[in-house]
Amino acid sequence: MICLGLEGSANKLGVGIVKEDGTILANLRKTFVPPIGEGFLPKETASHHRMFIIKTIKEAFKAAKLGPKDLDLIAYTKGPGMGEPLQSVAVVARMLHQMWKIPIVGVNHCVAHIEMGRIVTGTQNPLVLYVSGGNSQVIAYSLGKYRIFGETIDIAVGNCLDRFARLLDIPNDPSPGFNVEQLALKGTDKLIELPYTVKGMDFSLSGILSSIEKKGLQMLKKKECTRENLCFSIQENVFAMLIEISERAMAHCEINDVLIVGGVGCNQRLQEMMGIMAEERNGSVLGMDQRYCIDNGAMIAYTGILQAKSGSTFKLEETIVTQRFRTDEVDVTWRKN
Amino acid sequence: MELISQGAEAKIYRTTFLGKPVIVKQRFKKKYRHPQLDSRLITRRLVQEARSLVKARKFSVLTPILYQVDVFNHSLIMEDLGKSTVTLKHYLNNNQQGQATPLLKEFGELISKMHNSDLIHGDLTTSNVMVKKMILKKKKENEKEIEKEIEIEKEKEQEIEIEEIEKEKLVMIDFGLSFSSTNPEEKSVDLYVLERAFLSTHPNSKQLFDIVLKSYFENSNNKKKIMTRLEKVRRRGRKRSMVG
Repeated sequence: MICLGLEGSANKLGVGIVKEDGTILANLRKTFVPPIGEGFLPKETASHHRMFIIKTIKEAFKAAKLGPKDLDLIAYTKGPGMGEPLQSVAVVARMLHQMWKIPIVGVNHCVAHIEMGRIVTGTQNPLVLYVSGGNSQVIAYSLGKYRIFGETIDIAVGNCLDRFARLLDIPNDPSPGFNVEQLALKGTDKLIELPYTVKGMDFSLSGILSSIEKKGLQMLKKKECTRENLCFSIQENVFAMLIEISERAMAHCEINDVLIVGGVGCNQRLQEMMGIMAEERNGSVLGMDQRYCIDNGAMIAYTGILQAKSGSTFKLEETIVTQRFRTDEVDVTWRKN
Repeated sequence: MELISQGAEAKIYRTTFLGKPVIVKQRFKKKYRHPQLDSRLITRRLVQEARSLVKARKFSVLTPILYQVDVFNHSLIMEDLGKSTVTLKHYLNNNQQGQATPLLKEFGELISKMHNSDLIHGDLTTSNVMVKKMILKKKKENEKEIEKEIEIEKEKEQEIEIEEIEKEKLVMIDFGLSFSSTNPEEKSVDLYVLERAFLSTHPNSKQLFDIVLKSYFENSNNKKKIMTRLEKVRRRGRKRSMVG
């Protein structure tokens, strides 16, 4: 079975072609990068996706050396995400489904990240830390669902880092988070105290942003610290919170391997810290690379196959998109306890 | 010292101190954290826990008696609750719901006592409540019955009209993340954390948590505000715009 996967829930447009066994025949991505100091808004993002999707699909076929007649399935992101961009991509998926008369299936974006992680690293049942611009959850599989054990009470980690970058006029190209990471490497000489808020297995990040806005910017002005110091401090603080809740979940669920997925998973420092913690527990952190940490079409395609094979495909009326779609709403029919 | 368990944050040892059986809870450094951040957190949690263990007792919430705080070794020396004392989590997994109901009600009552006095536990889970068997003695005095709690090891008093009942009582532990707040939002988040811990630890157990919550609200001095906030906090998870 070969599947074409289309992803566009945020500012990354992903087109992937994947085989049933997980072999990735093509995985192309086009990212919408807003100007410095700005975030990406639904209208411009949807516009961007509409502009590039057809071209990217054609390029994907070329890379995979296949044509539409080789496809058995089309998968698209049903949600969660931004309404307009999701819709733009879904429209194309529906069109191809009708044009080529190929079955179609809608996939949960978060579950797709998890499944991609599992197949790429080859692990069966790790604890999953899913951290991206829109999501920050600690997930473990239990009784037919990917259950959320801990999550952010307010904003997601990626969102926090993106907004932090905007406050400091850090460029958005290739991504704000990446630039923060590079600056942090040069700021290790001073750690600035920031709020650290863990509540049970949940955590809160809005206090950190307010603290940067008030205290951090003041310190910068007075030359008491550098931008690099602030980048270093926010990472050390936020990532420590993520590691702590991951560790609690691991102790609770008695799992010792952990997988980090989502855009923020590309961060080397986060991977390093998680590795230290996992090692102390005689476990390991499973490495993902940026092709699959960041939103991509291949993960949608692969998860689509899992869904179609263990369940059914969608009727046209069912091919909706939804901005809110919790990870634990999905029946993980392809995994047996 | 005998190491009896190791959690994510601390090692627990069993030993004696001034002739009494005690538990030593020693927090250890986390290598993944920046050393400055690490020491700040460990000290803060040690101090907060020490304070709250003592404070909670003032509000009629049972906690292990605190004997000593050792800031240099990041440890607390406290009462050993005994080998037969188990966590509520363990109790729920090994007993019928009917048997657990009075304890769940008591749990709700305890949380409301803390919240009524603006003490937020910060990490409410069924692993942070212990179930201890105690002997309660009822002594008749002026036609009124006064309950006096005495530990199982103490000798019997030879006095007038004593009735002994063995009862299971709850003892709260793990106050490392506790703090004071009058804010109903913080109280509802405290409850929310418990709700999520319940549902993830004991699936299909919504009724168990409901018993706790009902008892909580029956004893709460700010029922309406906290209930409203709790609804809001619950919906935040479902309504969150999960972009990216």
